[in-house]
Amino acid sequence: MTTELDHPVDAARRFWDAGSRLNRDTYRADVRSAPFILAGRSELSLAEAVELAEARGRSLRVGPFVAANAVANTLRSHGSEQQKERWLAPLLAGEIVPTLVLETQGTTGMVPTVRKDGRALVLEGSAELVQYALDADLLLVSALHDGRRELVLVESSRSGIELAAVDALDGTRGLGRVTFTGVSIAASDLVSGDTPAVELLDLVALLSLGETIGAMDELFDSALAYSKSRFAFGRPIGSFQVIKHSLVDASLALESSKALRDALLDALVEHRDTASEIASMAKSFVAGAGIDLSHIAWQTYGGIAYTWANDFHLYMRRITSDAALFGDASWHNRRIIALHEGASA
Amino acid sequence: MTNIERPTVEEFRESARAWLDANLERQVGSRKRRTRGMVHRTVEDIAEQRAIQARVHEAGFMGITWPVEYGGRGLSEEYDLAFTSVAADYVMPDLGIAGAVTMIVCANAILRHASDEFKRKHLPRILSGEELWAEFFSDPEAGSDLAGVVTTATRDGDNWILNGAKIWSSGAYYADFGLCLARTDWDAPKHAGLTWFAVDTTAPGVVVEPLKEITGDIEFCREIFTDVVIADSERIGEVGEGWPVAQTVLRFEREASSGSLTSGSVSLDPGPLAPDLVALAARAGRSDDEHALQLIARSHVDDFVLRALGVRMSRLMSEGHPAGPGLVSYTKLAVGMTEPKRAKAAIEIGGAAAVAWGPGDIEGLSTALGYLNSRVTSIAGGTNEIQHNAIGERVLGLPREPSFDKGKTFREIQEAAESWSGTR
Repeated sequence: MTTELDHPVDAARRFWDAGSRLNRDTYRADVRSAPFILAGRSELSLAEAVELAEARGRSLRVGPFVAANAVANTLRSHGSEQQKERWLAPLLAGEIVPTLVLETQGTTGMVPTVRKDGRALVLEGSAELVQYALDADLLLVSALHDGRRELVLVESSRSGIELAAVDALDGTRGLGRVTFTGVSIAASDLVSGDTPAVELLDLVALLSLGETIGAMDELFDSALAYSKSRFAFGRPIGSFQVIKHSLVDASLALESSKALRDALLDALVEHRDTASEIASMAKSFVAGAGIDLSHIAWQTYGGIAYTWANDFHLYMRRITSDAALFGDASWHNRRIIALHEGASA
Repeated sequence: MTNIERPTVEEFRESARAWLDANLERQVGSRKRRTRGMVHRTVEDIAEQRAIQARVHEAGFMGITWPVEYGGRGLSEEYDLAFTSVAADYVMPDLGIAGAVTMIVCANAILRHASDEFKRKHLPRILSGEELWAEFFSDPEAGSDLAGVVTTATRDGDNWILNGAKIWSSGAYYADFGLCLARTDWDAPKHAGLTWFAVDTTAPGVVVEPLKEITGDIEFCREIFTDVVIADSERIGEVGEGWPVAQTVLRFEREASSGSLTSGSVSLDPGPLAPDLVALAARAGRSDDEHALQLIARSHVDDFVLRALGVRMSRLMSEGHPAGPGLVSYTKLAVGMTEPKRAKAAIEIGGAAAVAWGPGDIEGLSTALGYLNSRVTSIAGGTNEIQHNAIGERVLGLPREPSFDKGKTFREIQEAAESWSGTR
């Protein structure tokens, strides 16, 4: 990995240096210039969207790519006319920054819950790992409502919503925490039914896996190239079996991750009823595979990996943090078990 | 052969169906994979199966694509596929591991490298089940380093005299011949002094010893050769040209062991949740144990990864990936890495139930056998380390380790190895 000034990773460094805050002009230009949104002008296929996610992951691009696609897709498929009219155009134009608050993200308090307060509805609870928390304008929240999951679409400025930055391993995601305290919800804020919440998780899994695998791909290629060009004891270090074999382990982790991505993409495109299980299997596996690959690259680089100037740590931080975003391996393993219990019940 | 010589594929299929229906039993239920440690094939049991194979050959359904002069039918691949699809419904003769080694590995090496005289003598007898073959490939002192064999054949007029030992020859205790790799020139470079021979397992000076495996199973054997006389007509390939033949043997060995993993038709349905581990957790009273559930889910994911990886590699190969068939090493390595991991998970899930069970409890035994069998793939047919080298060097383009056997005769290599000190 180079550290030249115009390397695309420098955008991620600048974002972090600027307090992990999005530059609104950059974000708008990003949305407008790239075929960015599934439901947008370019009508990307799922396969193209994953490719794009991987290309973004490779250079650690900043911006709510997963959230923007997920929110746009949810709006288009399940949103009311009123919701579409209000949110879709500004979303596609990059005028508003969306974020996701899903059940995968966990909480140290109460999970986001919609309860009745007299005749009105109120949203309570909190969630972790909210991306671009300080910049988000629009929240898509998966909340418990009468024992089932319901999606709530709410602007961040509504009274009772508190978004706070947190310190994080990966400073290129703008991670934060959201707290809902007596937030008034209208029926028109709800996105109807149980189905969209499930579809949403699977789409989010696919796109976030794309970003992670792109980062893994780039990190592996760079570590492999380094092992061929770094000499020690009169040889390229990649000729030593102990390093060669660990790089093969990383390559196997990467190929296996891509095989799961392929399987998930096929299952989603073909609307197979196993798609949710495959999504969770993929998230569960890639979480560990990504971290393993990062550590192999880390050890291959040796001391230089400990310098801030080398891009290694940015990739390692991103891949490790991604393993926890949108459900860690343990969460997805529980979901796999639950899907099987549901099937046999 | 009683059948007409050039039937159409449909006529052939129908005649096969009619013959099978009249002569063999129908397959009931699905075929189960044999677990090492559960079945032992006796010479008597194999003899019955040989008799059935003789009838299948007599009817004209063995060696369908092989030349007529070697006992085959000389028909195209379509006929073979037609027969295979019909035969799937019947209980076909099962000659055990040596049967598979004979047909998939040895026969293919013979077809490609042996003389016409050799082929006319042996191939018809292979098809009729009269000759079962084992591989006499690895020496006890040469496993991963396949070309390092020291078993030696010395020329003596029209004969060769064989001395040495072989090991890991599956099913050799009931085989009639061994396809044997021997060093015929110690003063040639390592890979240039090798030659293949047919060794009659009943010849004077040949001792075949079945080895009891850690599963209690008896499958592979070791052989000791003392002044065994082999006619030069029993040589396969030219003298000193053994290494290309070895490549053929390895290629068909890989085909035999990894074929199912790289088939593009593998179903990518997640399937039931690791049924063996779910049952084990229940036996151990840990069905609701969070750690056990996590291990079960992880193993279920790993099972799916192997199939998804097989599909991906098969697709990359069909799309003309530059590494080509070298990509098979990924699936081989993945199985070799996953099976031990999965077996260790079973030991954790089962606790006491994984290491002790009631007398005769098949479920308890199967967990233990799964554990004992878990390093078969990581060692046999190319160890994990060999797969790592293959991927690292042929797919990822990493440089080889320095070689200490280039530019030397085999005799010099052996002498240098014996006085190895790590410095040069």
